[in-house]
Amino acid sequence: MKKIFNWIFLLIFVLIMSTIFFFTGKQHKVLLTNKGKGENAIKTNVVYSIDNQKTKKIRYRKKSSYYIKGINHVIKVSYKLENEKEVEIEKEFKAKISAIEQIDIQKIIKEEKDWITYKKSK
Amino acid sequence: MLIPIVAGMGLNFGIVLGAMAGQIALIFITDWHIIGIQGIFLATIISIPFSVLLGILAGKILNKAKGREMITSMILGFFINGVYQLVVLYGMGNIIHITDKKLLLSRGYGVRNAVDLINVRRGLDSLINLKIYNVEIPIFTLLIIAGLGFFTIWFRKTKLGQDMRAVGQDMEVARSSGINVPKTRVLAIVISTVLAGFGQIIYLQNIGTMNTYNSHEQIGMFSIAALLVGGASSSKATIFNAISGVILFHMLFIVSPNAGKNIMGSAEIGEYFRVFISYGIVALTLVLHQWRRKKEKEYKRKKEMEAIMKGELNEKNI
Repeated sequence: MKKIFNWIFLLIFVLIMSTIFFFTGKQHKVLLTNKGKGENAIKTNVVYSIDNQKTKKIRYRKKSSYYIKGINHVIKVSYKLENEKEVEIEKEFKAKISAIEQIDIQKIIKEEKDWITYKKSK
Repeated sequence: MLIPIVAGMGLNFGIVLGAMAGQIALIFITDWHIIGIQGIFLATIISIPFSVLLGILAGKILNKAKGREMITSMILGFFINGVYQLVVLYGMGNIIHITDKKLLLSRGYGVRNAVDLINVRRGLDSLINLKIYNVEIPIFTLLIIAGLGFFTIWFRKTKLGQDMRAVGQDMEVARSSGINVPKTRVLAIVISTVLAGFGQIIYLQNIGTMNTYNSHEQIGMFSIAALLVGGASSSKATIFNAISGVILFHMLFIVSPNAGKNIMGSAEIGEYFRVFISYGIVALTLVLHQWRRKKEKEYKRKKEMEAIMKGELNEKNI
């Protein structure tokens, strides 16, 4: 009986570990856009960094892609105002399994809620 | 490789089965985009059931070929290689779902010749490493190797390890003392196959690219050559033989092209020299092993005959 319990315990442990490795090691694609619509668009180039990695620049009306690993992430977006004052915004987001994360930089700058959307990957 | 030797099954050429299991696991994690150290650990876990199944199959077959384990395991490796190629070349993308189309051949099924492991490359090596004069020492990988070495030493001292040693020394005596000989032999092969799968994953994560249809083929021969170069025989091998053998075998790869270039003026001749030395040692060891076995059998038969003759004489005297 003890032997069976040991095997069951081992099996459950391996399954839990596999699940943890799967979710924390899964690579996700993030698509970032810096396109504004209408008069409210903030026409500025931005610099972003995800999970404190190397910073990347997106010019206005351009797109960028980035690969991330795991579930919980932090994006830092910084841009310059017209008076040369630098603004930095930090946002937390979660990656979803079999989904591409689409981040709208303009919406982050405008502090709108739906700045991240999830598109099902093929 | 050491455990089947302890169990008296000789050099296990069937470790290519474990290598194939490791490669299948790596194909899966590449398809699922599991990257970094998590990818390597997940591949290790995925490889275990494949290795166990292949190990049980190999162990059962080797139980039917007692005394001819080495050649049987070698041929078994070729046979399972055919099955592996069928699964990977035809089954993957057709029967087994592969989401990443970049992994597949342009016809839509079958995995490409080379699988890029860039996402898990040096995942294990770079986890803890030490840099001394621009030379990176992969501490974590070395710790894992040391751990596996200690596992083998510990395993030999367990009840199962002692049973394996008893089976390796004399199967009849082991059977009469209540040891389940076929089961013990199967377990020896299963452990060897599982560890071979781990070894292949560690090896490929270091290289960073996988040759889908060839990477596993040479593993059996390389491991055996390294072990024998380190001073082991097909009936006795230690951790020291394995480690010193790997160092010497790798040294042959480094030294021989230079030796060939300096002595003969061509690095290619050095490569032939390396092949000649390393595989010559394998052939010589196997010949010596067979010769010794033959001599031992003859000696045993002679002793038995002498005992019978003595018995007959004693009976006549009575």
